[in-house]
Amino acid sequence: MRQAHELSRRRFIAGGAAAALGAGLGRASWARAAPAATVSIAKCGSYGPELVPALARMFDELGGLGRLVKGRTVAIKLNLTGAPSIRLGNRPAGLAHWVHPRVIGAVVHLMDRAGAQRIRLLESAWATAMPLEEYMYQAGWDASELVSAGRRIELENTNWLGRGTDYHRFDVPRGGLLFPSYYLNHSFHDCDTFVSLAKLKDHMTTGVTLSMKNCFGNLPTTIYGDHVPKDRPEERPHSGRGRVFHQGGRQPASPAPPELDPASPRHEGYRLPRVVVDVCAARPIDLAIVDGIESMGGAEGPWGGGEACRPGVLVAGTNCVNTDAVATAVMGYDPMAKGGTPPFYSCDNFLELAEARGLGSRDLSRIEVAGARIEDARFDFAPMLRSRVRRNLPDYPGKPPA
Amino acid sequence: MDATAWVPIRWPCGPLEIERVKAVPGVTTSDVLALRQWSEPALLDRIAGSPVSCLVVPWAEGSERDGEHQRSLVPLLAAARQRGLALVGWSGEKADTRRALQAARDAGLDAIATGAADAPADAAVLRFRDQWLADRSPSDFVGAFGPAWPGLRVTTSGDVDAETGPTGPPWLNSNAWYVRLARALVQPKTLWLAFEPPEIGQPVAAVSYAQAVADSAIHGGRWLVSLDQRLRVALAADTASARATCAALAQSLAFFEAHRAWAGYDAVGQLGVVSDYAGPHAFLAFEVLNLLARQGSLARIVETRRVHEATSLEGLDAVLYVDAAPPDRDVARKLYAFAEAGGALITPPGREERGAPSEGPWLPGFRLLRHGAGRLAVAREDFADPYRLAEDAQLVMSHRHDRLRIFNPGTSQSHYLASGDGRAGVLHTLSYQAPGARTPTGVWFRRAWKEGQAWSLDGARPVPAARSVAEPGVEFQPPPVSVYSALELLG
Repeated sequence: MRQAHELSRRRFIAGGAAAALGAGLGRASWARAAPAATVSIAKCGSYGPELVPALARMFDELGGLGRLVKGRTVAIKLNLTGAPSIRLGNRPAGLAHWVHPRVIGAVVHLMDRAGAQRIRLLESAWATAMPLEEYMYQAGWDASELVSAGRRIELENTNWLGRGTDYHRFDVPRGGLLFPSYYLNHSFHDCDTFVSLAKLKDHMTTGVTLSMKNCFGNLPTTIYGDHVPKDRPEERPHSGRGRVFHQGGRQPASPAPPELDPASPRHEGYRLPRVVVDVCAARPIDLAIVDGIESMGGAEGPWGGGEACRPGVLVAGTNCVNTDAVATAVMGYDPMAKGGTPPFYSCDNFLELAEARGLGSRDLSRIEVAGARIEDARFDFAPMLRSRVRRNLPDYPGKPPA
Repeated sequence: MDATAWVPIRWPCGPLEIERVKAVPGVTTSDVLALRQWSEPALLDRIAGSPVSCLVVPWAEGSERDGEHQRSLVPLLAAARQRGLALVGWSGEKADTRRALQAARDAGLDAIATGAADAPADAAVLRFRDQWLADRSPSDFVGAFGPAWPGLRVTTSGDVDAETGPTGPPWLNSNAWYVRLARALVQPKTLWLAFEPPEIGQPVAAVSYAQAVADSAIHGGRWLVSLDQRLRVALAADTASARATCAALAQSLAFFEAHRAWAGYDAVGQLGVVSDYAGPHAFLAFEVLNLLARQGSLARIVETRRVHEATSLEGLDAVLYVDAAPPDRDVARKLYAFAEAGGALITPPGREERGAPSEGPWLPGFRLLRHGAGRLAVAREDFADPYRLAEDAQLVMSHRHDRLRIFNPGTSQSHYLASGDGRAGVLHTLSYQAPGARTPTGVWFRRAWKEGQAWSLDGARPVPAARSVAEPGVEFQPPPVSVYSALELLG
């Protein structure tokens, strides 16, 4: 296993001392008031037999799955970014940039056992309206195994209207940072519990991926795609979301509202962190689970370079900001880092923005960690991120968070 | 005369060609002087040692200058014959084909090539047909006009067209599917494709020529090699870069001549595409085949009149009946029997619907019904959009039953073929990416091939591909594909 570099310094920064320092330097009252809930960490070396017990322990440490799922419809947003044919070298996607199928199966199994009435697995499959199970088959997964992991398991590709009759509008409480509301597939509305099941990995634009960035994939490209008509959603998705979100070169298709401030920076380092926070505020995450057993560093997918790694860790919590803050620390980064510093090299820190919006605290001194300690589970991603060839992005000048 | 072994090249020479070139915008006097050398026997040295074995020279255009042009070529033609090259005269559509043929015979040419519809039925007339192959009359030779230059589609501004394809990825032009179609519909012994290099403001790269050769050769066609004008000028001047481009082109031609046996393999089929491929059905059926190839689906071409043949649907998982016109009773019986035996039959609306609703992937455009051991997928609306139809047909069949999956394909297209006895196979992969570092590729086959070895155009020896079991099949890890790779499969 990779040993942490610069460990002592990072321990200091990411540990309680740094958090105490931050508080001591007069952090705003909203930051001190942001919710803080328990986050569970489990060391887990493989996707073998140890996986289900590890997850079960973690859910128990969070107060039990029953209170979240019993008698309810659960929607789980998976992290299956990029086309299913893309691999990091010859590694199957589940061992690099996708959440591993056995983690999905284990979570489904445990939720089913805890009394979930119905479980829907969701992902906006890249540039296609194909059924999600077909997408999985293309990656070499046997989707039928996932469906049989519980009693009533459904899969839905949320990149378009899917089985719904209409898109559902989600307003961002207190107004959004970039858009006032977002239109999503019905599955995000037709559920009682919403789960983000993500991967522990870097991200070229937002620094880290984790449970919140995973929800950027909630957005259907039939409305937010590069080439959709202005006046109506496209019938089927054909492209990515770069022009609407990354570059800000166009507005989404009607009925989605245009962005709040067309004069705001057209820099993805400004825009994407805000969209992530907006989406997580509009469709709150009830349970965040991060698969870091095997992963990749340096980028969110093979298209950005990067390298494979085996952090051997799982992180879960009921507050997505708390969970991602702890997971960020497990990656050897400082969740309190300012934009322009690692891992948020060319972007704002979305955790900071989320905290400011009251979604949750990123202050490790306020977050109770159950299970393994951060310092015992830490796996340093920084060398992988540093070694990656930086894209030719203009430096993000930085702007105080809203 | 046996055209099956000829490796042809257009040889632009003589007064007719010079007159044509002079009319091309941007051509300079020095270009014209250089191009005059193509009528000199000495220029044949440029193809010495290459597999090229047939010169196709301009021959007649139906003008008063034809005779003078033909007489001027006498020294070149004599030198070519001395070098053992076959000679074909190109006769334009306005030319009197019978007269051109007689003049060709008198001059010792082996044949003429023409697109004239009224060309005489003569073994020495190599007849080119329009790309829709409206004329299906049997012939040992078929030439096709109109295919596109293979590769990434380039916009008028010179940029790669990454946006017009409905799939998001760059749009690729490929004629490999068309070679299969032409062979299936006419069943010639020899198939030539006539297409010209694009005008891109600079010499066409050597890799593009390699792609053009491979794209036609994969399924047994031959590109009627045609050099871009800048290369012709440079070749006359005998520049190093022109020689290098020609050497690469010759290497590609040689590779496929050395592996001609693969062209006799059959495309591995999983989805049968049934159509008469004619008249009002031609566009949709042709485009569906094109798009199925583009998305990597394993399609088999089944002409409606051949459905009754014993092996026409053998080994398929699904059949797509494309045509709006209903099949006759016998064909319908065979199609529904295919579904009853366990296959999936995909039809336009208005076809017979039998059985109870079936479970399966949710496809809003179709009514899915159980039928015997198989399924019927009846479209709710007429087939109109070939892109959607190709995508939906693949989904009805389901990726669960994929026989081939390629990981990290990049911007490439692959073609999977197997020998008639099923004991050998080959996966051709043509990459259209710019030269540079390549990502490792993984190739998964449902069939548990025991051995795989990778060939490249420049490799004299194949490289063994690492193999691992990946249930329910096997996966090979061949070296990354630079321009072209053939993964030869055994066992």
